[in-house]
This record gives sequence, C-alpha cells and structure tokens, in this order.
Amino acid sequence: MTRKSKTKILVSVLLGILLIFSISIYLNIILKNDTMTTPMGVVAIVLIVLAAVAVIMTVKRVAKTGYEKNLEGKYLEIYEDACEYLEISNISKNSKREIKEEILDVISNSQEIKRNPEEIFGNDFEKAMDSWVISYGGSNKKIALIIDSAMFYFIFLLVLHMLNYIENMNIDFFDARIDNSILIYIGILTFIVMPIARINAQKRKYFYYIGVIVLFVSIYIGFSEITHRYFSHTPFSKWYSVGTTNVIASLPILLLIISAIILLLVIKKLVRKKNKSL
Amino acid sequence: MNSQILKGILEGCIIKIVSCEETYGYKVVDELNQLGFEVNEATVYPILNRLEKRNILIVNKRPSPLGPMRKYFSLSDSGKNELNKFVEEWDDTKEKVESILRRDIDD
Repeated sequence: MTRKSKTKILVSVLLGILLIFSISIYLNIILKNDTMTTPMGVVAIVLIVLAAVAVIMTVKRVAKTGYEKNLEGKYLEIYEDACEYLEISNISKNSKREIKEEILDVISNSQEIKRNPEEIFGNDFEKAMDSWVISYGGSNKKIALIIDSAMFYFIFLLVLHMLNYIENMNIDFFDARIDNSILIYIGILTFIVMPIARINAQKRKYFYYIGVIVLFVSIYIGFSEITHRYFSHTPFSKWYSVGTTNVIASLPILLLIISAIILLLVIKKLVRKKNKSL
Repeated sequence: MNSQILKGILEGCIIKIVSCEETYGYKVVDELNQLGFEVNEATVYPILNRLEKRNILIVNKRPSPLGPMRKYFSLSDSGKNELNKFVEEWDDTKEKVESILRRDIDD
C-alpha cells in the first residue's frame, strides 16, 4: 500500500469518527433537553450508518484486487494516480473499468521489463489522461465541473431544507428556513472549492487538493468569527450571522429544484453520449 | 510535426500494423517507436479506441500472459476499406508535396 493510500484511509476514518462523535454529542444534548423526536433519531442513525459506509467504501476503493496486487513502488503509485483521475472523470462505470484494465496491462508490462512508468503518459500526465478519457466519451472537463457544481448545490439545498424541517417538525414543510451563512458556505463550497480541489487532484497536486479544503474551512470559520465579534452591528453581519432564508417556500419551487437536478443529470449523460459517438 | 497531421498519419499506420496480424496496444506502441515515431501509450490507446468505435478494428478480449485483461485488435472489413483509402490519400498527398518540394529545388 502506498503512503497516499494509507493517508486516504486515515483521513476517512478520522472524518467518520469525527462525524459520529459530533452526532453523538448533538443527540446527548437534545436528549437532555427532552427535545428529541423520532425523525431526528432516524436521521442521526442514518448519518452514523452513512459515515460508517463511507469509511468502508474508501477502504474498499483503496484496497487492491486481482492483478493490481502485483504492482509495486512507482508502478503502483502511477496506477493509483490514473485511477484517481478516472474516479472524478465524467465517463460511465464501464468505460472507467475498461481504461483501468488497459492501464493495468500497460503498467504491469512496464514493471516486468523495468521501464520507467512515467514514459507511458509522457511529460503531461493530465493531458495524457484527458485524451484517454475523451476517447471513451469523456466530456469537456469544464462543462462537467459546472454541471456537477450546480447539481450538488441543489442537492445540498434539498437536504438542508429537509434537515431543518425534521429539526422543527411543528412548522409547515414549506416554512423551514436555511441559515444565510450556510447558503453562502455551500455556494462557495460547490462552485469554487470542489472544482479547484478536483482539478488539483487530477493534476497530481495532492497537497493543494487537501490544502484548498483546509484553507476554505479555516477562512470560513475565521470570517464568521470576525463578523460575529467585531461587525455584529452592521446590517450585513446581522443578515449573515442570524439571518435565514426560506428557499423552498412552495411546492412549485420544490418541483423546480427536483426537475433541475434531473435535468442536469440528463444533460451530463447526453454530453457523454454525444462525445462517445464522435 | 503538426500534431493533427501526425494523428492522421499515425491512425493510418496503426491500421496498417493491425492489418498484418492480430495485435495489442503495447505492441503497436513498440512497433511505432522502432520505426522512429516516438509515441507513448497515452497517444496510441486513444487512437485504437476511436478506431474500435468506428468499427474499423475488431476487439477480442483475453488475459495477457501477466494476467490482466488485454484487448487484441484485428482489422474489420470496413477497416480494410479504410486502409485502402488511407494508402490512396497518402500516395496522392505524398505526390503533391514532393512535386512542390522538387519545384523549390529546381528553382
């Protein structure tokens, strides 16, 4: 196992533990306050199960199977880099599997004859992987990133709205409100941080990949704290710190958001199909 | 050489290599490099995939001697037509280029 794989598993386990720990503390508080409801309990259990499943999935994804186990050292490292690139590419699962098979065959051969594995991809790893992925119908990366960002934003909105409703079930579903700071947070996360992190991962710049996320979270916490402490009297601070927005205020808006998610999924598939037929 | 021109020429050369015997990507790269093309797998495999999609190449998948699955390529009937077309076009282009170059030398 490479150092990168070990780090991935460690980070995943730590995040899982952190999430389970946070939920447990939250559950403890609401149990003490006697404000616990059945849906809240169900959501908490679902989140704990999801955290555990995410850790298992990461370990499973990192673990090598079949002939992958024969790869060693720099051969295994470059194979993992290629797999990582494929994971975040806009191609079907079948295409990913086929490219992985091709790359595994080539790298296994290189290892056998002790050829430098970097020669397979030339001077520009990203460009080489791009052309490999495009030959299997991978779409333009920029379009895929924009579609993914919009889709994740809408999904986050839906999930947050539902969580807020579950937390305050005495109100009407369409009266649930989301904190303005959270709306800004997920907007920056989905439209700026995630695309930058993904681009860096595909460029094999893993330090930047993790760095951009840590930097964003630090800036977000710092900004929120400064706004709250020193500028709490300004209208923006009030809007940002304590303001809430009723995003899904009616059934048509809910249907519009669900339709937008479905439409974006369809567009993503159509772009992939169009590229495949080129 | 201009990458677009090189891609077109490479495509024709790959079809020709596959027409001689059933072969696989790694071997095609090796043959092209022996001829002095200086290409790597990341250039050749996408071309092979595109040719497969256009039904110019037929694919037969079976395990390689080292174990992982490998695609073995052979030429389809439409591939044979494509090869003839490439040879004709190449002869035509070569003739035109040579006549221009000769003119330069004569001048």
